[in-house]
Amino acid sequence: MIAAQKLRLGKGQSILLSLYSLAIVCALIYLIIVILTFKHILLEQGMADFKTLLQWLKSTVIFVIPAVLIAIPFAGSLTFFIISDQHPMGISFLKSFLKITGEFPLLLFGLLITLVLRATPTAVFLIYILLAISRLTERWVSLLGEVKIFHLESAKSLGLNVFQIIYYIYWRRFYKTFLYHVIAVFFLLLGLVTPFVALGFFDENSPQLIATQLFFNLRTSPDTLSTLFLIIICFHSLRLIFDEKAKFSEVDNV
Amino acid sequence: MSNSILRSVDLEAWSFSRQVLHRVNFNVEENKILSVIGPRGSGKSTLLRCLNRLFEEKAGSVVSGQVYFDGQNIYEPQFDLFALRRKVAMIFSEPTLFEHLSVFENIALSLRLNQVESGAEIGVAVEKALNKLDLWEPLKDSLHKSPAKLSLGVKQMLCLARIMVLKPKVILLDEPTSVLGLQYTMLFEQFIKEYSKKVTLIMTTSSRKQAARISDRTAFMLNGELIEIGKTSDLFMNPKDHRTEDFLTGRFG
Repeated sequence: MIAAQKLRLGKGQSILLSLYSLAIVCALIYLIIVILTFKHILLEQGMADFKTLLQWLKSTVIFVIPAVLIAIPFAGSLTFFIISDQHPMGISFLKSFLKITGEFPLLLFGLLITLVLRATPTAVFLIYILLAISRLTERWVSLLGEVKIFHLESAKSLGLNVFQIIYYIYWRRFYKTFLYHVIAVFFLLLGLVTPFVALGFFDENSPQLIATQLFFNLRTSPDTLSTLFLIIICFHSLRLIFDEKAKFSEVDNV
Repeated sequence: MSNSILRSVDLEAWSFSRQVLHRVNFNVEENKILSVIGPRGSGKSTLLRCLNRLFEEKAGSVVSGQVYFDGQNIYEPQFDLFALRRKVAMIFSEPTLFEHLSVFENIALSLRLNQVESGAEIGVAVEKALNKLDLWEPLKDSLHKSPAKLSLGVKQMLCLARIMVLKPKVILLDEPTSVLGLQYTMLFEQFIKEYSKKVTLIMTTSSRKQAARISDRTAFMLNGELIEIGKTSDLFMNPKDHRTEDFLTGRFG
């Protein structure tokens, strides 16, 4: 907050900065715990407990590592973006940073837990959701960054108030992209969630069991076709999100 | 000064910890053109942005001192910022049209800010503004298209049209012809010279010749300080400060 005051940031920017600073701290604490656990198991209990370590890593890594992978680059790059304000370097830095740190490690991590740790489809889906979120965030940060550079100062110099800026600058510029992304995310979630619901997701407590059921169901259940159909919708939505050609924002609307 | 429309008193500005303006005191006379010259990084653009409070929008910026517009200090907390920016409008070095809006909508947007809501009235006002700049004939069939593919010169003239319908009292021009070719630079200069009979213009320029050509008064800035200000002919012919003379004779900058 002191840093935010020094930088004369707005309320929203200060909250964002604080949240992402917190994310960095959490990520660092997690890394320290991992290192300490490694040290404890390897040095004090000997190699006999290596299986326990692997088990522990397997149970936590699926949920925590992607979060850390997302939190760190987002924290760093968004902080840089806020501090650098209208400097174009901030935007390009952010874009490349998100591209490198946001997507590739997640993809590699997805492959790793799928192949090495024999992860379940649940984990794979989770990875794809995180990947989609990463991609969408990158796209929106980039689009909003463009507005910040090219339009915002001009709009303010004309005397537009906050609501006029939201309508004329943000909504008129982005409503097609926004609606398109909302629809894509809706189908993505529908495609992912429906099979779980159909398999009694809410009646079961163990994610491992649900994943096994899903795997089993895909092979044997008479509902296989409908489940597959929904998964196809889900991946089609993903493809739409990732498709660079589908840039509604760049289509001239006049 | 009786016909002064803008007056700054001990105006200072900081960008993070770096001071970018040092105690700037000056008057701007009504319906005249004031040029602000100086080398790159001398604080010309910062000074302009302090006159419509745009500088403070940038992270890490701090402003102190007073700027009086029509006798009122614009840095008073209760001062209406949005109204100020419509009265003290600004043109940037590069055209800043909203390319996701049509040519018509760009100008109509300014009209709506001035409470003109009727479609017919807006249509007439857009035509009038474009006519004044000799742009009606070339653009009348493309009014509802994006301005994205127009030339820089036409875009900058459209920025001027967008400002004109706001009916400002002062226009701040931040190196407005720096990206324009010769033809549009001449047209632009010709138009603002004519327009200065009705509006006060403050223009930063890196071209000493342009300042000499079109301005009534000229100010010279160096390292955030206002070194000298006076009638253009006096400042160019008999500069009082040796730094002004050095700059005008090309010893630096």
